[in-house]
Amino acid sequence: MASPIRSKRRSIARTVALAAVLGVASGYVIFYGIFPVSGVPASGEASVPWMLVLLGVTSILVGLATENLSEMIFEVFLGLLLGGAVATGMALSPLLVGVVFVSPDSVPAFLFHYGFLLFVLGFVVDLVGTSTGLALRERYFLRRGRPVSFRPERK
Amino acid sequence: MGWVARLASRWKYPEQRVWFFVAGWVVVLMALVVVSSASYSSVVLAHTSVELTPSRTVSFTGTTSMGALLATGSVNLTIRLTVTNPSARSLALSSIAYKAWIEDLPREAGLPNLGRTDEVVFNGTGPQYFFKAFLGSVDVPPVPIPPRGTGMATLSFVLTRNSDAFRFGVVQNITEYAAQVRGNGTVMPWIHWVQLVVEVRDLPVPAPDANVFLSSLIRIVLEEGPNLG
Repeated sequence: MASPIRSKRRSIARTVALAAVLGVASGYVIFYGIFPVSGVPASGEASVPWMLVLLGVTSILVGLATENLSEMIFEVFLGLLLGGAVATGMALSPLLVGVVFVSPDSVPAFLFHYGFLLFVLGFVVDLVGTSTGLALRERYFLRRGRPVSFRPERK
Repeated sequence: MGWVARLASRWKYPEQRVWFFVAGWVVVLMALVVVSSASYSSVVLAHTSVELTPSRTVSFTGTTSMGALLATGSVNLTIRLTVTNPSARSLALSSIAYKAWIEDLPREAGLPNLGRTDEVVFNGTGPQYFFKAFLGSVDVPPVPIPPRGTGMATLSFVLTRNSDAFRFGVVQNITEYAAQVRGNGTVMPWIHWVQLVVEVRDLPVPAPDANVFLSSLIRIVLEEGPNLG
């Protein structure tokens, strides 16, 4: 039987790792929503269905890998912050090739200003998607035949 | 047990299997992030690295032996534009705005009642007056500028009495004065300004209601020379 400290550490590591996955998806969606011409696929206007697919698939997978509701809540909020960080990193990526074109400290405010609705969209889809994933996990992996429960697992 | 065997043993459990899908999906997301960042960086690099090298020639036709412009003459401005593109993006020159000023010697000499407005340039010796003889902007058929290549365009503009009687009259007056004072009316100092719009061709055009920064991302504006006004 694992010690409580080790179990806690694993839980924290899992939460941060899954939040990072949500963050990468949200960050990409925010960047793509603001700069669709340099996204994948490049388009003149951001495709909402494509953004929903990315966020939806990511959040359901993260939900399936999440062990309980409290971890899920942390993941979604942390994912929101990490999403901002990833989008900022992408917007500042020209610095990697030595191009300084804007003041780096103005980029987060710019992204938040133009990407506010995308932050909201990411948060809502992440919340719904991870809840769905967690419910599917409860239904198919852990408690086959038992009603869905969002309570933390007993150790 | 090797790491392959360890991973294979985890595949047996549905809970563990989810992590394989998560890892695969992360690879997909990271690929999107890297490709988008690279695409964005290359566009920004194009903005900062594209260079414009213009050369201009002003020539006169229909002048006296002293170089004074006749009423039937014309002033020809030829602009040769060379755009160097060190980036990996395909560009195209799409429009040009230009202005050219001729030094207004009669004004500098203090002749009265000239009836024109000049731009003043202060240098070490005092004010110099320049008259705007040419100005305009034109859309040109797209001139391709390949990645890591150059694109060239030559444009000619002609000033005649028919095209712009007022400006032609002023230039004629200046050349007549210069012919008397300097002995040659056609050798006059000019100041040129040119602005080019170069479009990134291998990116989709933003929607009409897109934000201004998105439109400016695919349009590179290059300027050369002082814009006196």
